Amino acid sequence: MIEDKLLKWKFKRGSREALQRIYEKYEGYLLTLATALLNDVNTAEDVVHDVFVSFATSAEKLRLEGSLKGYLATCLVNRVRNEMRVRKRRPCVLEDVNLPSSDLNEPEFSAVSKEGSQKLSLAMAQLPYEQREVIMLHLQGGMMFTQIAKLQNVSVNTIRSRHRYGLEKLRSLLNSEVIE
Amino acid sequence: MKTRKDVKQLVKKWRVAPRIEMHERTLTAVLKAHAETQKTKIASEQPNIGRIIMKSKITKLAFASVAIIIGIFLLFGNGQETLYAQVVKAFAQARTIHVVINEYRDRHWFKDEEIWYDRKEGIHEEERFEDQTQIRIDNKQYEWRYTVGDKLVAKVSSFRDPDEWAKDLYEWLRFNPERNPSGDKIIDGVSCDMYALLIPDSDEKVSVWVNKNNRVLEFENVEQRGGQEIRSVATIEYDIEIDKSLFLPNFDSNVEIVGPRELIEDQFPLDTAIFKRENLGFVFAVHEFDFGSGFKYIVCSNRLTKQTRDEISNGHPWTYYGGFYLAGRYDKFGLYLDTSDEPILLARMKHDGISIAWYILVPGGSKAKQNTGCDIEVRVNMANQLEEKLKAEGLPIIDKFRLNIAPGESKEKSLSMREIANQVYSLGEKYDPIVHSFGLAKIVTEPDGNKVLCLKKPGIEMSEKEFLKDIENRVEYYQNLN
Repeated sequence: MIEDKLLKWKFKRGSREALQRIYEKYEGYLLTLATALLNDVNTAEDVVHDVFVSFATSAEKLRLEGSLKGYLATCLVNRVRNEMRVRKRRPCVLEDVNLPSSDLNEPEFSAVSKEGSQKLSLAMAQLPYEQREVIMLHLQGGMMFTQIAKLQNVSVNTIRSRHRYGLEKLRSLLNSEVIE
Repeated sequence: MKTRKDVKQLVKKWRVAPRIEMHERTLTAVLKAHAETQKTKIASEQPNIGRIIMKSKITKLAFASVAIIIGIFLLFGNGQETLYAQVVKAFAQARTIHVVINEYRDRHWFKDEEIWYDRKEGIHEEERFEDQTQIRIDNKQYEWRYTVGDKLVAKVSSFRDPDEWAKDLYEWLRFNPERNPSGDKIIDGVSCDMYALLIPDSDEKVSVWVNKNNRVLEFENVEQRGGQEIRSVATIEYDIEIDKSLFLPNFDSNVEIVGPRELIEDQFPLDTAIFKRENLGFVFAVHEFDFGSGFKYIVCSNRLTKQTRDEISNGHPWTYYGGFYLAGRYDKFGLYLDTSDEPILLARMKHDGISIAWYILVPGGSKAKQNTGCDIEVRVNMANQLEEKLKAEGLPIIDKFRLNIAPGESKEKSLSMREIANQVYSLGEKYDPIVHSFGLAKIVTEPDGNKVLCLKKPGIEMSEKEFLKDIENRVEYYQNLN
């Protein structure tokens, strides 16, 4: 976290190197988060692209306190929600969905096997969006329930419930024959 | 049966790695957006070239020195012409500049970089990286890059105005240095004022000495690296006589001067390609397709068509116009088609609108093992000027198509992984010195002093032996999935 603090400080002072380091450090995390929330790698890439381009121009507004990872995750979630709103207005066909493909999950890049990744991606797609968001932000991003509650504008208890129900459904889906 | 704990672990470990194309395209856009925001004057530079320049100690040190001067103005400006502007003017009025950077490490001084700049003739730069000396000459018409000891010198049209090299200095404008009279000193008989900057939350300190004519005569950078203090000192001389032959490509008689793009096009010609497809300004081609034991080997390229190049090229050899990758073929549920192969990327090389990639294909579906050819998807994405052109014409910026080819009669042979690793390494050795940052490989010196050629992958450098082992592991991994 000390590194993040320094990176933020340097970035605020116009350092391109710091920006590059921030991008390289968090692009994988944000892409995983976006893919899980959108179930579409291509759209996820676009969202991550937009988040970082916007971030690059926001040095002035960036506050030094707080977690950089959390800040980026919040920006991404807001973009994803916009994307979901756009999606609701247009018909979506299953063939349009792009799951993470093989080249994204080569062994050296992924701690979860290709097969596991595909199953997880399919199972995640079947969760209600709010549950998906809580699970990913909490387990992948390490965000506290209180922080997520603020982001989703609901009580901490609601977040706890979403987390619990989401995990249970995920477990049930991963153990079922449907996606085996 | 997975428990709740298993599911948590699975989610925690899940990673979707960015594709190389996505990484580069987004990074380019991010740095461009940042540069525009900062209102810097590095417009003619591409970010990748920017990174090369940033590696230079002179630039890094000079950034800090000018930033300090800017800070001086911010602190003491009186409404007249800024000190920053005066310093830039002083740079601009110099007929010649000579810079030497020495670094103190391991109890010795080492000369790390030397630059000769002549406003009429151009620039000659010599920089040491570990035990290599790299030379760059730009006479305003051509640029030559050479690593001492190599057999090839890369020659490209000059794409960066040597007069503007000081523009990089504008990047770090936001530091607030302090005047430190206790450090004032006389350099070559001239009294100089010292300004100092201590970078918060880091161990980096920068000091600059400026004479009364607003010329920076010396700067010093002190930082902690690997537990030891590294001190770099740059000295700058102005308007001295510089030997004009330094700006001519006078290399050893046994080295060959080549155009990197022409050399790559000769190695991967379109007229002998096994497969070609031209679409949206690019030509995709397959140059080699062979069989090994339980796997296939394919070498592909993607390049701008001549017409597109003539229309959009800015002459900058490191401009990225787009790339391609191979992917397995999936059904709508994300599961392999029975006939699909699984591509494993071995290496990639890009230069001046050409991209070459080496892949191994492993049967991904049950019927793919019986395939006498390959069954994969090619995805080509366009970037920068090409992307803008296509968008303006209302055309798509991504091309996806199925590649189902068989090896040519004379091409079918059984390759071993060792042969493949060797082939990739040989090409890396040939091309890396001339395509530089986008090369296949890098020479590293091991602790015992041996030089080893290493393949560059994202964040990884591997020797040929490690590379071979890596290929074997990855192929085995995919074979075991089926």
